[in-house]
Amino acid sequence: MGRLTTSHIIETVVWGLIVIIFFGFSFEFDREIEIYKFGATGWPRTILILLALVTLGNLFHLYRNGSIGEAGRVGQSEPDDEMTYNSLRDYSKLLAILIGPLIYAILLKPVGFYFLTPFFISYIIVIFGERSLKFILGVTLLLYLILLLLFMVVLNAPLPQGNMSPFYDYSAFLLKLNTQLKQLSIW
Amino acid sequence: MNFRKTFKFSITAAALILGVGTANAFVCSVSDATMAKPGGFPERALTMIVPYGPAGGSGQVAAGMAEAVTSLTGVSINRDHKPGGSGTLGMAAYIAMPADGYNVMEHIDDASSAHALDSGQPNPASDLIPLVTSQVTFSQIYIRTNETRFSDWASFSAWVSAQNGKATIANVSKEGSMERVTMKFVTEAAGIKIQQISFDKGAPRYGALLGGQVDALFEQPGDVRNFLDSGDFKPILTIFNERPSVFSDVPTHKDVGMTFEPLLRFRGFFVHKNAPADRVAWLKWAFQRGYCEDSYQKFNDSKYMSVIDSYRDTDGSIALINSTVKQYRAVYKEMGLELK
Amino acid sequence: MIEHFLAGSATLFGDPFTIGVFIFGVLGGMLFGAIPGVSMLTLCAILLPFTAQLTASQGVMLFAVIYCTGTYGGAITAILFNIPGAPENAPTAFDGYPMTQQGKAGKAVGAAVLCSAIGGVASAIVMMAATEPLAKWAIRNIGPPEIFALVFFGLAVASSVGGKTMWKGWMSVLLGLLIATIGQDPVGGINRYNFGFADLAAGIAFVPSILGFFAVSEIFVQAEKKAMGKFTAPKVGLSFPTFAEIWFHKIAVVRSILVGFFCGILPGIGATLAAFMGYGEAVRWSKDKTSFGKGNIEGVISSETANNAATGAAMIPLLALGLPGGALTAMMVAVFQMHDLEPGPLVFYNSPDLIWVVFAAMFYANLCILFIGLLETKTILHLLKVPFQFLAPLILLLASIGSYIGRGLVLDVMVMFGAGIIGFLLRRSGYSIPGIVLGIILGKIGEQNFAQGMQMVHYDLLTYLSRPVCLILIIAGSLTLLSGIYKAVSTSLNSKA
Repeated sequence: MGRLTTSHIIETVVWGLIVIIFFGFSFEFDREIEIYKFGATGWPRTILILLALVTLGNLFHLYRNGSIGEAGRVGQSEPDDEMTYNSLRDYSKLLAILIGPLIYAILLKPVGFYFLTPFFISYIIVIFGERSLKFILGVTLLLYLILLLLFMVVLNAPLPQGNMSPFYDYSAFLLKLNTQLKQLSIW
Repeated sequence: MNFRKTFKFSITAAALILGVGTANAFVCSVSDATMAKPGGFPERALTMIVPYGPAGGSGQVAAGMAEAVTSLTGVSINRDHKPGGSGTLGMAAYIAMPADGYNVMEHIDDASSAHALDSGQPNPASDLIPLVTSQVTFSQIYIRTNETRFSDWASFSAWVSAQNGKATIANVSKEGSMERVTMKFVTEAAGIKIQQISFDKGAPRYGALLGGQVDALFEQPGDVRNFLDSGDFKPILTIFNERPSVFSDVPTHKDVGMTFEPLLRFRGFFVHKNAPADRVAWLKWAFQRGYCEDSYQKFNDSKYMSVIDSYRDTDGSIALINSTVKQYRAVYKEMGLELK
Repeated sequence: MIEHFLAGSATLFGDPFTIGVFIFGVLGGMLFGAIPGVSMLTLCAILLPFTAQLTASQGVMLFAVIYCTGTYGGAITAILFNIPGAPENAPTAFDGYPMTQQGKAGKAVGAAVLCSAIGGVASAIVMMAATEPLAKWAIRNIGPPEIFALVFFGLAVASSVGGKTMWKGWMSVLLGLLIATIGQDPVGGINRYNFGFADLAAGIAFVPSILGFFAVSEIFVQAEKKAMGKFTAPKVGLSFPTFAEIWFHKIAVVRSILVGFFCGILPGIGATLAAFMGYGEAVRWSKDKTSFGKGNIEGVISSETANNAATGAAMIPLLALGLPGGALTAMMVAVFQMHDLEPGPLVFYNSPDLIWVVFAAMFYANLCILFIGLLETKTILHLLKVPFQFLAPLILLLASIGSYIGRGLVLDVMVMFGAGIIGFLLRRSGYSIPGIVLGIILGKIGEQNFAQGMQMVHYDLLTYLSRPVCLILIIAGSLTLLSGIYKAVSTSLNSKA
């Protein structure tokens, strides 16, 4: 096993799976292109073969050297502090940090930016450990208004309006207010 | 494979539908200069989905029409560009939007060819309501003006034949695209073999011809107007049934013995099929009358879009789309593409 | 040239409204560049419809000025928050952010101000003198085969930077290249790797990827520290670099100007490769290579000089040939077109006034970076004092809007947060996040130009290598790769298990 650890093996297996899965899916679009000899699969499969070779090289390096880095490497950032997770609560905190924003992104299409955003702002503030209700509500309102003012009123940016009732209706209501505000300001 | 057999349409009928014939002096076909807003609609800005980026032909026509409609009606239009998937993503996003009349879409003939290839894709003539088709144009083949190896279609095709497939032409060669299909017609009809090189963005495509990286270019005249005006490029073949007056010295594909029906590039505006009827009526008026606005006409002139008749109202657009879908279906079958 | 420049300056400063547009561009570019999460691209995308109300020269000038000052502004967030404002600021973060962590943010931002101005002014002068002749050379001598060779060389250099080992550097770049294959293939438009999601046909855009890998992953790290009780506010250092400190790196500055200008002039490549190559060359020629990535001011100097040097160069193919070098110059094409103009050879004959107003404005915008940059830097550094629970939602939302606005796809917001999660997980593993990002940015350009190049040379390698620029770049890239392979293999072999 040389200096290989379980995490090294898992790391290599993950890369191996990426190569296998992507190579497997490449058969879905393995069609000839009349005007191009290498077709749609030539480029991605070359990358996958190179990735497989380099993964093996990395495995060999890990086998001989373990996690020790290569001397003289450049442009590498200082590593972040190591975190230790002791309880299920710690893991759930991490999960909340990583998954919450992704859920926000997924909900943007049906619910829309205008309705969803205040909840997201509050969520992030809470994730960052803030527990004062006044601060949470105050900052949420302030940021929401700043964003509406800048992107809706000033710039008319086309933000997701949602496509489900009543969320879309709420977006439409805000946009109508915006139009009325502008008509007022013209007069 | 002989594509000539594919097309059994009456040439006369097809010519009428496709609007063959050079455009005369512009006359606006919408007589009403104003129209009352039905129930106050629209009481806020419209959203226009544009399934391509802001700098391309679609982005420009969307901007031109939005400006014209806003100046006509006072209603703002926010353009929401959703490029990707050759226009299919913008279409899918539009279909999912509420059909309240506040959401409209710009789209091009790609929507028709996508539906022809895969009937699961919306048919713009029946799944949507065309408000207006505001640009209809044809394609040409260009060479550099200072080219010394050939100077016209006859010498070009002779030179290409002598290269044994090593001559090159810059194109947008996506599978099933108007460009790829038309080039197939041209090469088969002329009996030549030429390497098509696909450039998905206009500027590198034109740069490739300008810099001598390729031997010829397939494009529509409005997109290369500055190169034509500067004298860098010249057309050697017009793929259209008759010679437009501004290109009267350039032979058409029919002039050089090709018989296929030309595929046209067209751009138009749509609204959801189930949007409220009174709102649809107002939108039709606004967009069809918007076409008549001076600013829009000036824009179309600058893009060679008044060289042939670019205008189709709702019924004309439906006829144009239906004939195009039918034409593509026939071609795809001949090409051996799997139709869904 | 001088009389044209003076005439351009007179037009620029002869009309109060034009001056207003210029000032708006200078401040807007800096501000949007410096606000974490959004960038000059966001500002330009939003402003595009409004340019119809301006004259053609005002509209193009506005975007050109935003390009100059936004490229600098993006360095501020790269340095303070590890969030590059634009792809071309990514290498600035390699050393700029470690400097902030060491309490030297002032020095890093000061170096960015000075070097952005130097690079930009030098580039503007060369741009004015050389636009026409250089454009004519490039259009004849640089085509898809050469662009692919340049991408190959760029990727070979990039893989040697950032990872804990050479193997991890390559794995990172290859992962980026693999991600770039998602979406339609560049020749036939065939959908690849959409895994049942129709939106993936649009491919993975680089703006959300950059925001995710840099901005979002940084927020996640800070959130994790906060949740685990290990959060410490970043230190605010207000000491600026002395002139002597910058003078000490004069060779790096000159080298980066040359590298930046060379990369910037090539259509489709723009300032991003310029910054990476400027940084890579600084590392290559340095006697203390290991200090890079740990807060070496030369990293900031090289990257920022190169990316601003590319701004002037990128205007050459745009103005002379109508060929944009990147996303922002592509938007400038739209501004031209809104005014019934097409950038290209004719512009020099039909609209010389426009050209020289734009040239003069870019020159002055780069000078403004120096003066306004130094004045505003201290104010901007105080951003570090804002409570992070206030800043974090703002950054995430601005990044979400910035990701969404580019293509109007919610997919891009998902990609951004997904990239944030991957970036968060990879940060401690020794892989190179900049390598992944560069792979994503250059993957599409590389594949497209490879395919076009191969079609042009009819798949004949000898014909390909008979093109002198291709030969030089392919040899240089191959040597870089071979030396890397030799080093990586010998390192692995020399140590026994």
